[in-house]
Parts: sequence; structure tokens; C-alpha cells
Amino acid sequence: MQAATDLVWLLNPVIAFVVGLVLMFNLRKVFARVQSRRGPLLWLPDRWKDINRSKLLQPLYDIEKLLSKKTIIPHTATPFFTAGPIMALSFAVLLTLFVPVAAGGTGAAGKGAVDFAFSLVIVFYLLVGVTMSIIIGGTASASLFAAIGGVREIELMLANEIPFILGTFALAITAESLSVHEMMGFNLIFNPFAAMAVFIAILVKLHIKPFDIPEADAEIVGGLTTEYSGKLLGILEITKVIMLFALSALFVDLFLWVPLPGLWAWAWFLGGVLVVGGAIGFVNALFARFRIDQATKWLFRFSTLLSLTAIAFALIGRYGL
Amino acid sequence: MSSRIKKSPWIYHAHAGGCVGCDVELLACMGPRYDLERLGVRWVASPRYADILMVTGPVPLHTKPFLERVYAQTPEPKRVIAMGACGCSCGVFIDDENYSVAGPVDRIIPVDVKIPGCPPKPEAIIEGIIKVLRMK
Ligand code: SF4
Repeated sequence: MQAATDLVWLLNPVIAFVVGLVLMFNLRKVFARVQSRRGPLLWLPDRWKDINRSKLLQPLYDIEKLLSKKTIIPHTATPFFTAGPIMALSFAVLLTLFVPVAAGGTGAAGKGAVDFAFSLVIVFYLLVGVTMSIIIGGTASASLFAAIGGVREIELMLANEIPFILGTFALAITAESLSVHEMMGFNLIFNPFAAMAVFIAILVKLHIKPFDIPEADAEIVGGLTTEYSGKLLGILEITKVIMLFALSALFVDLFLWVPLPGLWAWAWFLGGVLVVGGAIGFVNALFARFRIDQATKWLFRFSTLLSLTAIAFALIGRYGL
Repeated sequence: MSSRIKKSPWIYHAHAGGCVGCDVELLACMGPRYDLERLGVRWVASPRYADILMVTGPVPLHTKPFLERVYAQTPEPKRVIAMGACGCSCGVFIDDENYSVAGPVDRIIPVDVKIPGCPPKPEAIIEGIIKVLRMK
């Protein structure tokens, strides 16, 4: 019995997918509402009932449809073209195992995830792994749009990785540990600079509006994913859904977490994830796209400065002046 | 198979000649008043993602190979909508002396639904899209 409850973190990918679908719907709905549109309807009027009853599961319908479509593989593509999305999905699934989900209980089962003394470092590598596999898959298609998208993605990643790592390390300094579980807490108050730096980094990692340069629909036709279709695109779409959940959950764990028992932990966790998802949605709807040079400059200046402040803040808080 | 498209239609807009009248009406369809996203429609940037091709304009000779290629790049199952008087019958561009037009859309690729009008109203466009969604 004990062993079975200890393995509850194996359910994390499923939770990630289900909650991720809701977050994805939320993203589209917020985007539409900000533009004073309706967005995917929750209840369709009677005359459209034969098409669909509710659009709540719209992201799921999209994935289902993509998985049922024919996959076109360009003749210029190398085998990495098919391996890329599958690798990305496996990295994303692995990532969910390391992000605590409603870690309310005690003992190994209560942590809600696999936890080592250095699990933060693993999270970094898995996050980079997802991006790198998408870059590998995309550039293997030999499409020019994918090449431009890949270059932009790498530039953005280089500029973004520093604030993200420094921001989370500020928490590690405070907690004197690299384990995600020990860093959890309501750090939004204790270190607001780190929270801002990490939030911006999450936006970049998810390609949310001011930073959706690598997949800019209007200029480079989807960037790295231009040549993907059918099932492979469906796999990429699942990866996106899981990443949206994993990064929102990571933010809730690191910055908005209050230790609560049992079901309260779940309520707090899901509420927090929805709030973070809503915030991401608003940012997505309110901003226009940066150019790549503006984005890297801005990340190198503002975001890096922010994360350095966070580190200084943490050092002063930890060791005094 | 079509029931999947019904629930999540992703539309690629292929502009093949024509004035831009039809395309402006298409934009109006995604605006606050006629919001097509209520039905889960998503406008996509690459034919590889698309389920429905929305073709506007009287396909000039110059554009014909590209339209054929866009059609081939769209993965099955797919549907085609010819939009505007141009898409249905070459509209104002039809003329015995017009040397540059390759013909209406259905002479080049198979068409499922035609939306007449110059340009069609957004209501008509939505009606056309719903007709495609209801197709077996
Ligand atoms: S049908 Fe009319 S509005 Fe549409 S492209 Fe042709 S001429 Fe322009």
C-alpha cells in the first residue's frame, strides 16, 4: 500500500495533460475576450448543436484531429524530422515528473513529484531538452522558414536562460538547497524580483506574445514547425499543452506556494495554476511582437538586471549586509 | 473522418489573384461581430496545418502552379471553399480577351463549396464554412 501511494507522481503527466487543456482553452478565451470577441463558445446555440455542443475541449479536438490526419514528410527531411517531436514530448513528460503537483502531504507521496537534492538542475536540462529537440526536428526539415525560426529560437534561448537560472538560483540561495521541493513557498513576497524575472522567462519559453518571434505566424509561417503536419504536429501540440501546465505549475510551486494539507493543497494548487494561466493569457493578448534584436536586447538588459537584483536581494536576506 | 474536421476546422486562406475585397471580408469574419472562433475555427499560416482551403480570386496563369502545390501540401482529409464571384466563375475578370486568367478555382482543384458574391457578406462566408463542416 505504501509503495503504491509513493508512486503517485507517475500520474503527473496525465494531470499535466488534462489541466493543460483547460489552460490552453483559457488562453484562447482570454485572448478573444480582450479583443471583445466571444472565443470558443461554452454552449453553442441550438441551430449549431449538430456541429458541437460545447467548445470547452477545443484543444483536445484539435489534437484529436491532428492525430487522425495524414502526415506529410518532405523528401528533403532527415530522420531527425520525425525523431524531434517525439524527443520533445518525452522530455516534456519527464519534466512533469519533476514539477511538484499539490505537494500537500508528508513523506515521499506528499511531495507530488520526484525530488532529489539537485532536482532544479534536472528541470533546467529538461526544459532546454524540449527546446533543443524542437530545434533539431525543425531544422532537419531543410525548410528556410524553419532555419530562420531556429536561429531566432537559439538567440532567444541564450538571452533567456541567464535570467531564468539566476532568478531560480536566488530562491536556491534563500533555501540553501537545489531541491525544488525545499524551495517551495510564497516567495512572491520574499523575493518579488526573482518572481518577475522567472515569469518573464516563462513567457519566453512558452512563446507568449511579446516573445513569439521564433514562430511568428505572419512573417515566417510558424518557424520551426512550418513543415510539420498531421500526427507529428499533433505531438508538438501535446508538448505545448504539457509545457504550458508544467511551467505554470513550476511558477505556482516556487512563488505562490502555501503549505496546506490534503484537498486544500489541491484547491490552492489548481487555483494558482489558473491564476498564472490567466496572467499569461492577458500578457499574450495585450502585447505586440518584439523584433528579435529588441527582444534579446531587452532580455539582456532588463531581465538580467532584474535577476541580478534578485540574487543580491537573496544574498542580503541570507547573509546580511 | 469529417467529424474531426467538424470540431476543429483550421483554415488556410489562399489568395489567388483578385482584388483584396474578399480578403477584407474574411478579416471581418474573425472580428468581434462575426467571430468565427466561436466555432473553433483557427486561421493558420501554413497549408500543412490546414483542413480547409479558402481560395479567393480568379487564379491567374502565374498563380496556378502555386495553387496546385498548396492543394498538394494540404494533408488529407481536406476541403476546398471557392470564395467570391471570382472564385466561382472568374467574376469581373472573365473576358474572352483576358489572356492571363487560368480559370475559376474548380477548373484547377476540386471544390466542395462555393460562396458567391462580390464580395460575399460575412454572413454568407460563415454559412459556407458551416456547410463544409456539415458535409459528410
Ligand atoms: S469576388 Fe469581387 S471582391 Fe472578391 S476578389 Fe473578386 S472582384 Fe474582388
